[in-house]
Amino acid sequence: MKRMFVLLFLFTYLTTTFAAALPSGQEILAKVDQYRGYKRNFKMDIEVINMKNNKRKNFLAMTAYIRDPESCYLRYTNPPLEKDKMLLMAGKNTWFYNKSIRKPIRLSAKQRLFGNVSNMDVARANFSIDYTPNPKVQIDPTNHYLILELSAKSDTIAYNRILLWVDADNCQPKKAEFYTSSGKKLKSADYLSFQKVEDQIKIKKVLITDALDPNNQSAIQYSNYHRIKLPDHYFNADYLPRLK
Amino acid sequence: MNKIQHIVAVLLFVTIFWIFGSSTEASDLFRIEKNSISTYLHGNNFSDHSPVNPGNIIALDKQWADLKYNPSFSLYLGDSGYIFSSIRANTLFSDLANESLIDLEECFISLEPVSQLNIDFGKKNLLWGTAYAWNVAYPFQNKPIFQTPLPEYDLILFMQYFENESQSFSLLSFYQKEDAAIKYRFSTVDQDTEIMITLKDKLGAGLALSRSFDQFELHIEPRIQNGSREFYPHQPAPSIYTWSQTQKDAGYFIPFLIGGTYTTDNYWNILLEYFHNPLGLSQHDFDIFQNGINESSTFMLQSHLYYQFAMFRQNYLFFRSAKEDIWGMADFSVSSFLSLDDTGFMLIPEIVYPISGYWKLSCKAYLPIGSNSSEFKRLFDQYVEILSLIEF
Repeated sequence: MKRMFVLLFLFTYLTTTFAAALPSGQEILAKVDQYRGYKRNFKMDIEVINMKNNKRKNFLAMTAYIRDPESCYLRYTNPPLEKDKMLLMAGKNTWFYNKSIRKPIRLSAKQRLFGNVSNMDVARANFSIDYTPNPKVQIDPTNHYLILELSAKSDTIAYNRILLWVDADNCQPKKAEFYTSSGKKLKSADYLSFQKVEDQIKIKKVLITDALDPNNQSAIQYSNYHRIKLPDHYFNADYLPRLK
Repeated sequence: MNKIQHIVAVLLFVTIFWIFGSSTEASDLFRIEKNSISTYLHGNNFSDHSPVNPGNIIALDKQWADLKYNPSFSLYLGDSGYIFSSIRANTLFSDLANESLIDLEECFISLEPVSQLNIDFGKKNLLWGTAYAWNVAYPFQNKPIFQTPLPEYDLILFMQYFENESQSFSLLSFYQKEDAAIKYRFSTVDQDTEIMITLKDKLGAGLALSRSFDQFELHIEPRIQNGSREFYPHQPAPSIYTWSQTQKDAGYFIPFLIGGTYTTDNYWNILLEYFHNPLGLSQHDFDIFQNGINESSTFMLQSHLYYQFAMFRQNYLFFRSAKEDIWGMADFSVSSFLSLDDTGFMLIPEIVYPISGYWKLSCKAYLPIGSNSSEFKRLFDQYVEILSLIEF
C-alpha cells in the first residue's frame, strides 16, 4: 500500500511538473518559426528535388528573398529552362512573372509551385502568420515530442489544418502532416536536418511525401542564408521585370 | 545560298555565341543571358487553292522548318543601370527559298538615377494589363498571344516610379509617333488595379482589374476611346472594293474583356476570357471583306497591309486548360479561340516533354475549325509544330 502511494505521488508530481513546464502553443510556434529563417530581410537558396520511388526525377533551384514573414519573392535559377521565372508573394497576393509573358500574372493562392511543393511551402518562412495553434498542446507517448494542431486563419491558406510534431527540448520541428478542410491528408513533411547559421540553428532539409502516393516525394534543401536589405518597392508586382 | 550553306552559316553563328557566352558569363559587368535555340519542324497544309489566295495569285511558300536563336546581352553600369540587347535570328527552310533573318528584338538602356525611379530608352517590348489572350486596355499591342508579339513602334521612352510595394506610376512615350500613355497601378489586399490614359488614335482611357479569391482569379479590362483609325472594307460600286478609315472616325467605343482563372484541387488551371471589340468588323463588313478578297486581287493585297488577320471580328471567347507534370511525364495544355460571330474556332493543343533541364521537346498543332466562310477556317493556316529547345 505504501509503495502504491509513493508511485502515485511520483506519477502525479512528474506529470504536473511537466504539464506546468509546457509552453503555450503560440510560444512553441514562435520558436518553430525561428528555425525557418530570420524574422526580416534575408535571402536563402532553395532546391526542390522531386523523386519517384526514391529516384530523382527533376529539380528546381531558386533564391528566396524574404523581407518579412508575409513578403517574399522567388527567382528561379536552375535548370536553365526555368530561369527568369519569378514568383512574388505579398500578404495574400501571389504573382508570377515570366519573360515570355512580359507582365506579372496574379495567381490564386492554391496554385502549385513544383511537384508536391506548394508556393507556401517555400515562400512562407513563418507558420504563425497563417495558422493558429490549438491552445491544448499534446504530448507524444514517448514524451520526446510535443504535438501542435494548427488551424488556417483563412480559406486562402494552402492547408486547412496541420499537425506538427516538435522536439520537447528545443522546439525543433520534426514532422508535420497537412490536411484539407474535409480532413483528407494531403502530404507529410519530415524535417531531416538542421544547420548552424551565424549563431542560430536553421532548417537544412525537409522531405515532403504525398499522402496518396508515398512513392512521390520532394526534398527541399535550404542553404546560403544571408541577411540582406530589401527595399519595399522590390515587392511591387510591377517591379518584377526589373528585379536583377 | 543552298540548304547546306544555310545550316553551316547558322551553326557557325550559334557556335560563336556559345563560345563567347561561356567565356563572359563570369563577368559582373557583361553577361550573356538566356541563350536558346529553337528548332521548329513544320508540317502544314497551306494549300495552293487557299480561299485567301484564290487562283493562286500569290506564290505561297510552304515552310517546313525554322531554326531560331535568341540570345540576349546585359552590360551593367555599376548600380546606376544597364544596357540590354536581345537578338532574334531565324533561318527558314521552305519550298521556294531559304532565308536567314537577324532582327534586333530589343535594345535599350535602363537607368536608375535614384532609388525607385527607372528610365528606359530604346527599343523595348512592353505589355500592360491583366488579361491573358488580348491586351484591351493597352492599345499599343493588340495582337493575340499566338501571334508573334511585336510592338508596333520602335523607340520608346519609358519611366517608372515605384512609390512602395503597392503603388507605381509609369509614363510611356513613343519617339517616332505622337503616341503616349500613362499608367497608375495599385494593389490592395486581393486586387490589382491599373488605370491607363492613352493618346493612341485619340484620347482614350483603360482600366485593368484583377482580383483573386481562393482558387479563382477574376480580371476585367475595359477601354474607352473616342473615334477609330481602323480600316474598314467598302463596296462603293459593284465589283469595286476599297478600304476606308472614315467609317468609325467619330463616337465613343468601349472594347472590354472579362475573364477568370480557376485551379482545381488536382492542379488543372482553367482560363476563360470573353472579348468584345466594337471596333471590329460587323457581319456586313465581313461579307464585303470576303467578297472583296474573292473578286479583287488589289483589295486582297491591300487587306494584308491594313489587317494582319489578327482576329478583327467583334466577339471572341478564349479558353485554356493546362496541367503540368501529367502522368509524371509531360506538361499538357489545350487552348482555343472561338469567334462568336461565325462560330469558327482555332484549337491549339500542346504537349511538352522535358528531356532534361536543358532540353525539351514539344508538339503543338494549330487547327482552324469551322465553315469555309468562318474567319478562322478562311484566314488561318493549319499546321503542326514540333519543337526542340536547347538552353545552355
